[in-house]
Formats: sequence, structure tokens, C-alpha cells
Amino acid sequence: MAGLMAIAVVGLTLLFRPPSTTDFAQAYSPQNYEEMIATVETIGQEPIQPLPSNIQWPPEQVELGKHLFNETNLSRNQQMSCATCHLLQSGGDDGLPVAIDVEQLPMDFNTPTVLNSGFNFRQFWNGRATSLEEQMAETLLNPREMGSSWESALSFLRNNRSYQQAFQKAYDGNISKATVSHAIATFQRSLITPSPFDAYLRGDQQAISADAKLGYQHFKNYGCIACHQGVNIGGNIFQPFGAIRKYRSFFGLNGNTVTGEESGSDGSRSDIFQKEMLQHGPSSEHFKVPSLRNVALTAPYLHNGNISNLQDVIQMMASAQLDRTIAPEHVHQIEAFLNSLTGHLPGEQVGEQDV
Amino acid sequence: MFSKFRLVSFSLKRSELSYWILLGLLLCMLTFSFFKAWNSYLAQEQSALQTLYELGVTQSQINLELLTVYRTPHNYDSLAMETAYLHQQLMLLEQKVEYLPLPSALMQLFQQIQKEAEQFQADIEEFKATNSILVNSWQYLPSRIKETVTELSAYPDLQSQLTRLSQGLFAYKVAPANRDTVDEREQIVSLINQIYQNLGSISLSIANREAIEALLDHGIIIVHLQHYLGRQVLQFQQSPLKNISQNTEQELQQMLFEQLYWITRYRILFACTALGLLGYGGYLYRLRYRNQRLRAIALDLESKVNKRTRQLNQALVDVKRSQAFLVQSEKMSSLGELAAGISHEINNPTSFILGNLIHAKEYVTTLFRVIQLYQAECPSPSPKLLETIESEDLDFIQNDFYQLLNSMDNGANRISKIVQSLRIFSRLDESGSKIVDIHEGLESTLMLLQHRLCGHPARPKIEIYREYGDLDQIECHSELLNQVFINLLNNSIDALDNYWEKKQGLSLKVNGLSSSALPVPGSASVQPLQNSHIVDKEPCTLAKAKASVSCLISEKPDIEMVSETDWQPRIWIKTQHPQPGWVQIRIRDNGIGISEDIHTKVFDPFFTTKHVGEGTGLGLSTSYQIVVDQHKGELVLKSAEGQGCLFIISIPCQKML
Repeated sequence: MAGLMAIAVVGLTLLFRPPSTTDFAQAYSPQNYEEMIATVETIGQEPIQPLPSNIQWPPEQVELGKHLFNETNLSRNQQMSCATCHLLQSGGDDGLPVAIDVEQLPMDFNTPTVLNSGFNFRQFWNGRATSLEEQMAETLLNPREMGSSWESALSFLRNNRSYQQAFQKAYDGNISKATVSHAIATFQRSLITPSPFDAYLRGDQQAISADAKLGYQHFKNYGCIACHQGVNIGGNIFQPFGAIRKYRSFFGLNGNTVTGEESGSDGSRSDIFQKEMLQHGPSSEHFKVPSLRNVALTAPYLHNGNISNLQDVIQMMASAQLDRTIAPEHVHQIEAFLNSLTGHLPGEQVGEQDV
Repeated sequence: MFSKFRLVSFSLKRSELSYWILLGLLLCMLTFSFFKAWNSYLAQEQSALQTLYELGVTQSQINLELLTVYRTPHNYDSLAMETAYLHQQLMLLEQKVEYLPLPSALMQLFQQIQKEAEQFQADIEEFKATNSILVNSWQYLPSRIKETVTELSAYPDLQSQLTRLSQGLFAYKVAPANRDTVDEREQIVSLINQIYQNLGSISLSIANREAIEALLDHGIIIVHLQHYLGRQVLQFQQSPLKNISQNTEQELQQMLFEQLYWITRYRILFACTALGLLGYGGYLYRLRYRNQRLRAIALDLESKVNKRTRQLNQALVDVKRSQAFLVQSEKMSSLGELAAGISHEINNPTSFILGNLIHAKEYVTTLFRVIQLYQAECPSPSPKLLETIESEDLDFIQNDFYQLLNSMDNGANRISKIVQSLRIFSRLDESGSKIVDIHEGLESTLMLLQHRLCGHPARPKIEIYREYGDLDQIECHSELLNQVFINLLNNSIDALDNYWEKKQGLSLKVNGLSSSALPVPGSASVQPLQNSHIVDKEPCTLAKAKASVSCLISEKPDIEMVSETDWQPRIWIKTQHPQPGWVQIRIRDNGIGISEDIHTKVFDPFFTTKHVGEGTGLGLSTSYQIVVDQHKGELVLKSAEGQGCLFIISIPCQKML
């Protein structure tokens, strides 16, 4: 009888135990792209939306992620950290045409900015990573980048007293692939830079100059907005390089004749867009449309860093993608608009951004 | 095997076996239904179904978003978000389904979903890229055509062609996506071709030529992409992913329904079995509890019965003992009265005899002196007188008469002594407890037993060894104690007799000697008495009395054993104070002894080893009654067969003088 009573008591205690704090924790901190986008408040009919201002992340995880972001011991030669290429104070990239690898040799692509990268639907120029966690893991393991391995990275973290304490606070002491990449990704998602243009979108007419306002109108009229739209002004779509011109040759405009039928291989689907690109390596023709936030700080431009001037790149993109030239005064105004997209990290002084 | 089972089953009680079988069956059912009812995959299957459902919702959302962004300037954030959701859900689904034991048809469906979803996502990315180009062209084209037409006022052909192109494109734009627009498309394409041909024939500024070529590029884009994208949007609405995921959802749902159907029944079975088991367990527990209580009650009853039986037995023993005591004491009291009466009656004549004997002696002396005087006065008596003197042998008479008188004196004294002993023994003159000398009682008892102590042809004389301690006089019922002494001594004498008889029988057998060759025990002391002149019905008694008295005093056997063994019948009597306040009388013999088997019985009333008629079986029980019950003392027997026996009487002497 006493045994039955004991079982009943234990069962009821287990059944009605109070929920642990971790059951509800982090309910309002976005964990991936779709949750990031879900936090955006839609204001007006503009194709560009302001950055959200109401996201809260667990401060312990962000703090830990910041330390990991700057931790050189995670790399093979113990000299490289994420911050080596992604300098938060100068636009979140390295200011070089193409990245320099661990052997000090140039790599294939220009370093994308880490700022607002949480609002990119995919990571890398060709979008092969669907999350910041994936991106982080690939960079850590890539022999030309940090060149490390999970075993060495985890063993370093597990034997470090301050990291043990930090992980204890943020993840109940669980040091694993999942928590390490989550911490770094959470830190990256927290790197949001509200800009004067966001204030303008929220209704502050004095936030940006008249030139910038005109530049925004030109940006829309010339068709830049067709690709650079959304909360991140890009970062949610793929485009081939030379989009308009491509069609002339594609639809058989050779010898000045245009046919009514597509010349696609299967007749029903166009292969303008190479589907394999989503799964396989980089393509020389298709790129993720990059975000234009902080574009003034992230020179040189384009995937290969060919152009170091903002006006030049405006002209270049207009002719390459839109098949037209833009008047110099319009270029100037668009540049003013792009400058108004330069934001600042929440903790930073506004003045530092101008340096 | 079977026999072993039978053995086991019979070692349990039949009813218990059925209990265990039923209990085992219930437990088996419980386990079976538990494993059937709690399918560990059910939750995963349900969550997979949930994900499938969410996948369907996301697809609908995506289709909605596609329609929203199709041909309109819009941002792609929502679409990218929904696509990311789709991607997330597909990954989740893959994880959930990976380790599920699903039928192969379902597994194939899930694989198809993943494959189609890849295609679907790629299609969406293509759609986004293409749509943004189309939208750009739409935005750019109308104003640009207007500008270019105004600039080309010098070329009316080109102007009209461009205007027609603009109108054609507008008509094409507003046409519904599902309408077959091949004709319109053909017209626009041919128009574009004409413009190209015109461009080749006329000379224009490079800026104008490039502007027109750009316009034509956009026209081509519109013609082809609008048609293409319209078809794409329709295809998205009927995407194979949607059909397959709906099919899979239905299949999975059907499977889950079936599983749930059975699981519900097994859960009900489980609950019923558990309830039954609980009830049955409770019933068994109650049964066991009741059995225990019954057993306890039975034990209690049994102990009560035992206790009552012991009490009854004790009461029976008490009743028997008191009955025996009554019989004995009645007998003894009548005997005592008789003895007292007789002794009183005998005492008077004896005192006459004793009193007259003195005078008789004087008279005889006087008579003999007269006779002598006569003889001296008349030395010559008449011959007749002389003849009479001679014939009667007067001298002998003269000598013998004194002896005769002495003998009579002795006899009368003995009579008075015996009478005194009788009186002391019965103590009828002193009723109730008196302060007495134990030794006096012992001696008077021995006196009364003289006839049995002395030797006779069947057995030599019994030697009595006294070890009287310096005893205080104690307060007791002396007549009762004397009875105890006589009973114990009688028993000892019987035991000695038996032992002697047994020994004689044994030696006869062993030696094969004839009875005539046997030496006559006690003959040495008895023989002379047989030749005595005393006419006595019990010659032995008197002689034995003397002999025994002498031996009592000497404390040494004066008869030599002529048996080949050194055994002689002996009785030891010892009195002492074992501890202050107690008197102990130990009576020991070297007789046949009492076997230990009957030690517990010897004090029972009517228990006897003697032949019928020889003993009543009351002696020892009466003695026990007297010592233990009336004097609050102890009577202990120590004996073994063939080693004699020892009775120890311990009596508390409360009032010591």
C-alpha cells in the first residue's frame, strides 16, 4: 500500500512539475532568416522597408558570440578570426578587392559584409548556405579560410575556463557544434545597422537630404529597385550578370531575327536560371543580389572587387543590368541616397561612422 | 518434465495455483497491451503529419505571394521568407521521416516530395529573377517609348512602328495570363523584326540607335517573359509538389487513423486490465489478510485449549491427590484411633502385669526363702515331700523362675514401649501442629517397622545408618510427617526386597546352585532365637527388634554377607539444616531404584509398580501432598534403575526454638 502511494506521489510530482525556464526562453529572438523577416514591420507601400527596431536576443549568447567572433584560437594557425576579414568598424568587410586566405594569397571573391547579414535569404555570393550557422561552419572548416576542425575548436573551448563559464550562462554548459555556431550566428543576427533612410521611411522627412530623396526616386525609376528591394535592399533574390542583354542573344537575336519561341532545351522551361547553382558550386553568371545597406563603407564593389568607386559602380550596374546610361546628376543623387543607407550598430557613436 | 510440473503444481495448493495463473495472465495482458498501446513512433508520425500540413499551408502562402509579386513592383522579402519556411519544413520533415518505419509506398512519396521541392525552390528563384526583369521592363518601357517617339520626329515610319509596338505591348500586357496569346506575340515579334530591319536601312545617331535597341530588348523580354511567367504562375498553382504532399498527407493520415484506432482499443484494454489487476490484487491481499487473521485466531484458540487442558489435568491431579490423601488420612486416622484404643487397652493390663510383676518377684523371693527356711528347719522331710521335690525339680524351678519373671518383665516393657511408639506415631493425643523432634518421629516409625527390617529366610537384615544432625525442634504436623516417613521407608524396604529377589534369581541362574546349598541369609542372628523358650507368634519380631536396635546403635553391619557380591540391603537416614530456616531429611537406600521414565509419575495418585493388591499407589502421592501442600516444603526424588533411590524432604521451620 505504501509502495502504491509512493508511486502515485512521484507520478503526480512529475506530472505537475513547474515548467523550467528554458521551456519558454528565447521566444522572441529570431533564430533564422524567416524569423528575422517576420519581425519587419510593414510601413507604407514602399518596396523598401525599414529595419526592425524591436528584436531582443539573449545577451549572454550575443556576448559569447562576440567573443567567439573575435577568437583567433579557433583557426588552424591561431591568427585568424571572423573579425580578421569582417571588421565591424569599417562596414563589416575587409576593404580588399578579394579576400586574402590563410596563406596570404587572394581568394575568388570580395568579402561580403557581415552587417545585417541576418536579413540575407542565403549566405555567400552564390547563396549555397541557407543559414548563418551553415555559413559559419563552412568558413571554419574551409582549409583556405580558417582551416580548423570542429574537434580542435571544441577542445579549445572546452578547456578554456572563461568560455566554460560563458557557455554555462548561455547554453547550460553545453559546448557543441550546434551551440558554437548558434552563438556566432546570433551575434551576427544582432548586427543590425539602422540608418537615416530607415528613419525617413518611418516618416522623418528631415532624416535624409533632398538629394537623397531625389536619388531614391531615380533608384526606383531607373529600375534598380527591381532587384534591390526588401528590408535589406537586396539579399533576397538571385540575378545573372548582364540580365537584359542576356535575353537578346538568348531568344535567338542573331542575324537580327527574333523568333517567337524560346530556344530552351526542354521547350517548356527556360534554363536562364541554372537550378544546379542552388546545390552546387559558384557560377560565373549568377549571384545573390547583395544588400545595399552600408554600401558606402564596403568598397571595393562587385563580387570580384573590380570597382572601387560608388559612382562608377552605379553607372556600371545601370549599363550591365538595366541596359541604359544614367545622367551624371542622377548618379550623384543616387549616391546621396546610397550614403543615407549607412547605419550604425546600436552600441556605437554615430560620429564614428563618418571616420 | 510433466511429472516435475505436477510436483510443483501439487506443492502449491490447487486454489493458490489458479490464483497465480490468473495473476500471470493479467500481467501478460497488461504488458502486451502496454507495448501495443504506447507506440513510440506515434508522436513522430503525428509531428511529421503536422509538418506536412504546415508544408501545404506554406505552399499556399507561397502561391499567394507569387500572385502578389507577379508583374507588379514589389519586394520579395515575404516570398523569400515563405520559401525559407518551406526549406526549413522540408528539412524538418526529412529528419522526422528518416528513422520512421514507414511503408515503402509512403517512403517513396516522401522522397518524391523532397525531389519536387528542390525543383519547386529552384523554380521560385528563377521566377523571382525573371519577374524582377519583367517588372523592370514594364516600368521602363512606356515612358521610354514616349520619349523616343518624340525624338524620332524625322522618321515617321519608325515612329508609327514604335507606336504600334507600344500599343501591341499594352494590349499584350493587359491580356489575362491564361489566354492563348500566340497571335499577339507573333504580331509583336514580327513588328520588332520590322523595326530591326528599318534600323538597318536608315541612318541614326548612335544614341538613338542604342535607345531603340534597348527598347526592342525590353519588348522581347516582355513578350517572352510575360508568356513564360504566366505559364509558370499557373504551373505553381498546380505544382506536383502540392499534389504529392497532399497525397502523402492523406496516406499518412489514413495510416495514423488506423494506428490510433487500434491504439485506442489497446489503451482501453490496458486500462481495464490494470483496473482488473488492481482489483484482483486487492482481493488477494484481503484474502491473505483474512487468512492471516484466521490463522492467528486458530493459534489463539489452540493455546487457550492447551491452557485449559493443562488446568484441567492439574485439577484432575489435585482432585486425585486430595482424594488419595483423604482416603489415606481417613485410613490412618481410623488406624490411629484403633491403635490408640488398643494401646490404651493394652496399656492398662500391661501396667497391671508390670506392677504385679514387682510384687510377684517379691512374693516369689519370699516363697523361695520360706522354702529354704523349711528345708533348713526340717532337714528330713517326709519321703513323699522329697519325692515331689525330686520329681518337680525344685532347684531348676527356683533358678528358672527368676529368669521367667525377668523375661516377662522384658516382654511387658516391650509391650509398653510399642504402645508408646504407637501413640507417638499416631499422636492422636496431640492434634494440629506441634513443636516436635523429628528424630523422635523417625525412631518411632523405625520401631513400628522393625518387623520388616529384620532379616528373614528370604533376605538378610536391613542395616540402618543414621546420620542425625543437630536438629532444632520444628513446628509441624508430626502425625502426618510420620506417615511420610513410614511411606518412604516402606518403599525403600520394598525396593530392597525386590532387588534381593532379583539378585537371588540372577545368581541361581548364573551359578545353577540348588536352593539347599544357598546360605540362609540372616541365619546367624535369627537362629538362636528360634531355639528360644519364649512362645511367641512372632519370634522374629522381638529378636529382630533387639538385633536391629543393636545394629542401629553400632551403625555397623554385624552380619556378613555370604553372597558372592558384597551387596547388603542398607538404608541411610540423614537429617540436617541445608540452610537456615529449612530442615532436610534424606532417606536413601541401595535397592532396585526407580527408572527415570517414571520419575514424573511416581507422585501421581494410584500410580504403582507393585502387583494388584500389594500397593494402593497412594503412599508417595500422599507424602507429596503432606510435604508440599501442607508443609509448603519440597519432596525430591533422585534415582536411577539399579542404583538405589534417594528421597529428599525439605521443610521450612518457621518458628525455630
